[in-house]
Amino acid sequence: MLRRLLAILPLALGAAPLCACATLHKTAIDEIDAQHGRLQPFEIHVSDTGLDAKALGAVASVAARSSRPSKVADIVALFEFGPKTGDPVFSDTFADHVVDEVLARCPSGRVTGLVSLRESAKYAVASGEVVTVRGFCILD
Amino acid sequence: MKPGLLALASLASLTLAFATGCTTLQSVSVTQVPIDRTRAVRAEVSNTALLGIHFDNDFLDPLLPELLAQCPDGRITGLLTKQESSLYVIVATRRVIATGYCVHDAPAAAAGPDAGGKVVMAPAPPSPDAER
Repeated sequence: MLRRLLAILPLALGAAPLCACATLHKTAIDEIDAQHGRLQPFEIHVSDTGLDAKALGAVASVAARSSRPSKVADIVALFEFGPKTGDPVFSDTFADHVVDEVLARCPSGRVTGLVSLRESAKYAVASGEVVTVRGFCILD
Repeated sequence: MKPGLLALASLASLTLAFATGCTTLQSVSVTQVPIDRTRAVRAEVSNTALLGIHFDNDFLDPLLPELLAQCPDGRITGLLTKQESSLYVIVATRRVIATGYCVHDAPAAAAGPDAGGKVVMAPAPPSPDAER
């Protein structure tokens, strides 16, 4: 039984990079007002592609059978030093239009119970850096 | 130190590590705290996974309905939202806890600004220069 488990383990570990690992970085909930009318839920996602330079370098090194890509990736990673949430992305404005999206879903502007989430879906070398906003539109 | 005593100390340390875990507070947010804090509401959701490998964040979904069920016709405010994660050697648990207060606004205020509600500005405090 143990031998069989040990045989399956590398397969499971090999398949893991193909699946997205979800990370929840931050959660914030605004006040919920249920006394003004019926509430209609809505959900908005905005995202950008993140890149893990070190992982990309490691994969390139394996593919090229050379340690050079990995060394280059280490140098690139030096420029990404410091606190960060998720992988670095190419634009710092990808979440700016989330307010417009909220107003598009709820044209009256009567919004309550906003839940703001910062999430990541991590793949082998890339990741989906996601901002999710859930809330309720007050109908009446 | 005797080997038996060392083994016992190691076992005690491991047991303590398993029992306590390592907790990280990832994010905290607070909304305006009301004067009337008589009706407290609380909701908690959690998600445990081996090696901390999670495939989605759907565990959060019941949080808002749980809060709303405790205050179906009022306003939930003073919401303190904590997101934390605990690591128990090979198992990681993510937890989001929301605590707040259910308040019922006066009818005029509850009907909104269109129904006659007004924003009243508080008088400004006297400046230190004026007191001299």
